[in-house]
Amino acid sequence: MSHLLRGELIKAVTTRTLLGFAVGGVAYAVLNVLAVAVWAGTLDEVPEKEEALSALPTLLLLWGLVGTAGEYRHRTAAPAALVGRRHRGFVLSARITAYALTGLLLGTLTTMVSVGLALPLLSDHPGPDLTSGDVGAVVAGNLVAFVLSAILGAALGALIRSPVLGVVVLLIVNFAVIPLLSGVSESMANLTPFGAAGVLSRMTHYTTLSVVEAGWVLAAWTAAVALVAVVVERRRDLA
Amino acid sequence: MTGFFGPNGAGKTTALKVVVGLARPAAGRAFLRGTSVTTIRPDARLLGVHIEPCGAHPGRTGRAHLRSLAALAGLPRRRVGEVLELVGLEEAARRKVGKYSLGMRQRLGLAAALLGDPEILVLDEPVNGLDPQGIRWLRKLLRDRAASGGTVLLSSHMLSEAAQTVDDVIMIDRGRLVHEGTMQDLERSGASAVVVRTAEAQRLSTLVVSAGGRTRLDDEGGGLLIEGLDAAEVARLAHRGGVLLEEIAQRTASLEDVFFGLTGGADR
Repeated sequence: MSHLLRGELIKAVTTRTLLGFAVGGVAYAVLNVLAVAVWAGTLDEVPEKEEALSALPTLLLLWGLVGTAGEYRHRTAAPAALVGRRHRGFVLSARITAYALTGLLLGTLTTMVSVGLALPLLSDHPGPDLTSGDVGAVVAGNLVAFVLSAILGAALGALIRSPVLGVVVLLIVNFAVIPLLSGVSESMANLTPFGAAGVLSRMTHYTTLSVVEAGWVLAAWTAAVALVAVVVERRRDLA
Repeated sequence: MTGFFGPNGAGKTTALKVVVGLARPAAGRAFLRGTSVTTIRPDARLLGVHIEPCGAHPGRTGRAHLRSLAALAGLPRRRVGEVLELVGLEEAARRKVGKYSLGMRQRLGLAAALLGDPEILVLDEPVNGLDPQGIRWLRKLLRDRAASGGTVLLSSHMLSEAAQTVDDVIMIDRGRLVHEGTMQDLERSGASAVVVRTAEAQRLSTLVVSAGGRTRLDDEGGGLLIEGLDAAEVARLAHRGGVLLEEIAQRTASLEDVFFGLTGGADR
């Protein structure tokens, strides 16, 4: 399995896509800190301040999705399946793991930028300061959300097999379907992967789900979709 | 070394994907060394495959593509340099695949297939895009592998080119097997005819028909085309009948003619 992971990691880091996502993640982190800690007015409660440290798990969902769907678009999945010395399900598992590890790398980078930029700005706001425990919990939540989102995205990419279609569907669901659903039933929206990731990364607070519960919801979605992707990969033809 | 031929759209690539286990057949089964490909463990040391396109990300360098495959296959990294040298891509190895010419992408695909120094090579249209030197190089490479005991299955729609390389022939058309045998059998299966020019075509025609042959006017040259007799028999008949021949030649059907005859390609 280690040779599969090594090969998939080489693939994941040897195109400019990783760099693009790193730049996009850092840019989002900077904008989010400025929007919450500078432009949004006074923050006097801990959850409001935590929001300045929140990340964008959707970005990692896109990272995994574009990466694995691109394997089919560029026909790179077939050569990998032909040399892997394990069945295709193992090869896809290694690919998903590679996206989880690179997702952790991207998540760590953007979280470091968020924390480094936000903490000095947040100290100027009234009310209780964030303790190191608060910051640690937000960082941990962000990283878990990032890794799970990258895995979920990679599994979805293997199922959808078209980066463009995947991105369009993802954006429609994230920016149209989930807000509509949230308007109808917040608790239902929180049980979707997008809603749970939002809670886990502190983009959403004062809601129907605790951070730990959100983690479990997102993990359950991720495990289910990844399992389906691996099973389907074994049965489908490779172009 | 076996050539797998058929016109465009005959189903060659699909059949090769079934043979290597990338696709499942609607009916039937594929075996590799006696084992069903659906149960065999993919291994670059056993099977090297190049099916177009070459399966490399356009934003990745040729070297990175091969490095990833070598790692996936559990092969030492030095094999990457070795196959790059073998296919003549060392200088282009650090360039992005998206900037490669068709011939260079073919060479990269061949390098990937050769990474594990496999016992069996399956190549889909490997000469596409190669320049004459490249075609000669590939022909020698494949012949050397076959001579050293390796197995090569290569598909092509260019029969005359591949005929110089392969020993056995499989020909399909619209998903159906239309010929299987040695290349010599295929060459022999082409019908031959004798073309003659004479001012006494009518008399010669009568003699030929009485000897069991068939005649018709040659559409290409304007002479008399005789089937069912060879040139020596026709010459003896003419000599005995006192017919003066201005020209006599044996015409053997080209491989293309045989190919079209088997696949009905000329009518499309």
